[in-house]
Amino acid sequence: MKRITVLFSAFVFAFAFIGCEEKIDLDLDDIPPAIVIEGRLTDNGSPYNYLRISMSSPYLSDEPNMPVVGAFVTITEDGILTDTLIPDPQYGQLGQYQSTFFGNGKVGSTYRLRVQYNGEVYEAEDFIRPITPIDSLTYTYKDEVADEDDGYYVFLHTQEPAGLGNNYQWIYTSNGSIESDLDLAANDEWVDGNYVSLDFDLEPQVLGDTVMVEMGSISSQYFTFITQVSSQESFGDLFDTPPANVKGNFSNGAYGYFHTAAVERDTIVIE
Amino acid sequence: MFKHTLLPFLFLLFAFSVTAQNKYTISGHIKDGDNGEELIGATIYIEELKTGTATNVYGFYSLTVPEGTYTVIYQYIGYNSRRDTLVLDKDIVQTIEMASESKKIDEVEITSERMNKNVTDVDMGVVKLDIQTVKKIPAVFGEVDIIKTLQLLPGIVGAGEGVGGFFVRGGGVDQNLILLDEAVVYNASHLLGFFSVFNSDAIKDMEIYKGGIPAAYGGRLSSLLDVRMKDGNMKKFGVSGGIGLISSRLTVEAPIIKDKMSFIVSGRRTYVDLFLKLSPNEEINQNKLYFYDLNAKYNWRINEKNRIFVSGYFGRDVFGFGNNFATDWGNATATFRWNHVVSNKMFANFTFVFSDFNYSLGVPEGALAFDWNARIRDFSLKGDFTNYLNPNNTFKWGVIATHHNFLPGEVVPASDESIFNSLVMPDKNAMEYAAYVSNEQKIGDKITLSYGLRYSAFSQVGPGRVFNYDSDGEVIDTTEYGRFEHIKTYHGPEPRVAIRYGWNKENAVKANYTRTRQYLHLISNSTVSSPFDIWVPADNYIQPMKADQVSVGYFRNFKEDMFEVSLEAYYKYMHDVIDYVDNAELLLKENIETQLLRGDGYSYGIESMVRKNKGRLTGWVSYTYSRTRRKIDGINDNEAYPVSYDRNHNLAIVLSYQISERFSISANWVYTTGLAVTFPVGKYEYNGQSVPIFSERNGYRLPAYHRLDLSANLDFKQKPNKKFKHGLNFSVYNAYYNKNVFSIVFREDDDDASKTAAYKTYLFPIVPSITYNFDF
Repeated sequence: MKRITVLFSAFVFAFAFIGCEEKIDLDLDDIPPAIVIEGRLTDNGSPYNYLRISMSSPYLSDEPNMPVVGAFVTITEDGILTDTLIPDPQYGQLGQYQSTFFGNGKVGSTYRLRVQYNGEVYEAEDFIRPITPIDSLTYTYKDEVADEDDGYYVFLHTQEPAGLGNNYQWIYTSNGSIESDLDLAANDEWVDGNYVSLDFDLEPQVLGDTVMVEMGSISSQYFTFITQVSSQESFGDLFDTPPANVKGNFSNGAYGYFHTAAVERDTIVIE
Repeated sequence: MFKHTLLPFLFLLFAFSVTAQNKYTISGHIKDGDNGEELIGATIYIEELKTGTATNVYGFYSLTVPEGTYTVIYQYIGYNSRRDTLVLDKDIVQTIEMASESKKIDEVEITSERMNKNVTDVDMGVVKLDIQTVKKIPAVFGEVDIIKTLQLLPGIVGAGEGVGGFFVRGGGVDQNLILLDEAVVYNASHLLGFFSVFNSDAIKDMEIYKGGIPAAYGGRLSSLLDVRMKDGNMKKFGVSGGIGLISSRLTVEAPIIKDKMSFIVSGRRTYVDLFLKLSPNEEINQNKLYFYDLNAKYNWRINEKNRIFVSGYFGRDVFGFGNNFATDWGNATATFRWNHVVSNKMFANFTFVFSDFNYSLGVPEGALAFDWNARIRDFSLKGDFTNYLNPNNTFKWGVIATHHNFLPGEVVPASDESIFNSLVMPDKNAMEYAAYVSNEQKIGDKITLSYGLRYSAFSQVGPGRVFNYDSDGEVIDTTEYGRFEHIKTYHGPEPRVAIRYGWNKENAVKANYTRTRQYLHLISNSTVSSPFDIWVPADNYIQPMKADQVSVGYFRNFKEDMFEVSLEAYYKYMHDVIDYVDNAELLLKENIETQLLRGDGYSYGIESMVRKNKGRLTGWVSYTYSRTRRKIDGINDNEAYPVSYDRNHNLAIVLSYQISERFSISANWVYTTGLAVTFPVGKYEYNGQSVPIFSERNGYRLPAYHRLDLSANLDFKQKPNKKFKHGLNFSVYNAYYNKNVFSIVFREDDDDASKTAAYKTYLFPIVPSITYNFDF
């Protein structure tokens, strides 16, 4: 679906051959800094979970966003307090918090994150939905074509369960470093119930590379959040929908999102 | 004492005998003497009785007055006036032919009966656009554009370059009823607003109603653009055309049987893509970019009382981006009309209309191959009747029924490897009906009153299906309906009232009140409209809109109608307008009602215009100040917000100077407040990505838009006794190269990757153009 909107915009941007661009100065009336909370909690011991808290900044400012270090953060599972988060020993000064609990969630349980800072309380909730297993990972070699380099491209094969309403996000790493973006995600609207072979449309691998893919079941609300955040990489074009703030799931005006997922992982080595 | 009683007695006797006098009717058609085209709105005036009438859209007039001998004056803009002596002792049916005005530029025509139509007509908020005037206005790529010309009038704005459509008194782009020979045109723009679908060579007449829409018309809230095609030269064969840098056009018209049957065919094509093919860049030379359109009309004057017209329009825009993407869209309309003069005091017109607008887009090959089509198709049948009761009362009435078929979207995979499933949004069907009565009444010679009532109804009918929702907004089930089964009906009255008080032929005050109803909405997936917007009918979940508009104006002419001055103020309140939920998903959504929010809108403004109609220098200056807001729960924290086209200041200066008989120059300068936009006022980081925080909806403005266009027209010497006329038109669009903002985007600063900067995109640099025009 996103691809169609991208192509649609491409049609419009074709007018760029008669359109020109120029930098301009703008005077924006920026809002005061607001708190931003990013959190991911899964089952199955995922190493890719996090909690980060920072403050927003004026739009055109080039200063990095202020991290929030002294917040009081707790997690409850099905209403019972399970964890109080401490600043991360290594990255605490960057606003990161550590929890031993993050990878220990249970499918079906509801998790509530509570952040207290500067006299204000911000809360968000999500529950872990079941995930279908990854059938296999394979790779094929492709020659250079148009804007795609030659190399090995990895495919993921899985049986998408019948019944609309499943939403997915993938984390793709190559030799230990994450190569995927936030928007490597999809819902089952157009492929419901199909046996799917996914091509990740990322940079190709070379011989000897190790690729790990983690597939997670996210809520449709988080899928919408991801889609909107990614589409706001650029905005302002008259052919886009009018820009509006993405809705996170925090109370009390905090930006960001706290989401949960059940995950399945698989690894393949290019040989 | 006897003398005192005799006078009133004699008076009574006289009055009695006057009323006992016979009344007779003069009626018939008024035509152009050269080509037989009927003239719309030509006036017939009886000097002695100080009364008159005007021809209707088919050139027909009827005037019933007491027996007598009169001086009748026939007048029409661009033609020499005619004075005839008429002995009216029986009903007379006559066809009047008028001669085109000879170009005597130094002579300022002084006729004892001035035109003064803007003062004497009760219509207000209507502007008749003379094709000759439109052709003189400089245009982008030398292609005359009616829609761009409309935007030079007070109360009408566009959305800038690259965007089609126009906005009238705060109404949205879907609130304009655009008719071409009575057929609805759903998308009046080619190539995203660079050109309109109207080929000026095929057009006879155009009128735009901004307020005071007559009871005979309805279905759109804010305006009526009534475009009439030429009927085709009844007297001789004619060819005219033009060859330009970007587009060319050709018109052929001729009588099939002289003075009885004729036809006209007019075509246009652009060829921008021919220039693209010259590029060595493969990404560019494989692209297709063109449009074409064709107007055709056949016209048969069976006898003095019956006439048949068959007209059609077909146009297409084609765009292809190599093998990656292709799209095309266009309108097709066909009209069949029968004029019947029922009696010399009653005129009838029966019309059958077909109108279609469709688009398709897609990716032709590969894993992402798909084909997406959407369409709206109408069939209408209408009857319009006019009873010319007496010189003081013209009574009109009629009925119309329309069947609408909507195909909101159908996506099919276009190749075997495509990963897409088929997705077909089911058809929707609807019936729209209306009936109206109206009367235009003259009271004395100072007051004209026009009052009417239109009553309209709209039903969504089967075949179709309706989703039923529970209280959380989740779909629980669907209900299926069979063919023509009524699913949901809306109806309501639309009163239309206007009054004019003129204390002499040069001064008038007018006021009107109009209520209009609109049952179709144009849903747009973008901030501004594009050809891929979807027309959606009112149904169980989507209400129709209605608007109430009040306007008041003062009209004054100076120096024998050489100068026309007008000042109008309006207030419009729109009920049940639609806007979208934040970050709406509108593409291919069957239950689109879940993405829509409903509320109210209002607009008010003051419009002023000074126009010079005669002499070497002609033209006008128009200025409008207006404000338009919407207030919809769920948008902008439930606060009122400006619409994107809330262009508060709108100034246009349009001038034309006739240097010699064959050489003229024109210029126009426009200044409009920039579009209202939403800008970011903060940012935060999520997963390494910078996410903007936006201001209130449309809380900022793009920089003001202004532009100067110039053109010169040189007609070559016409050889004596030869029909062949030709000439050159030079034009420069955006003569001082103002980089008018098309949009502002925020992205990584080119000079410093660590920063974000704002970039403006502007489309048209200075665009010179030359067109060779011919006529024989």
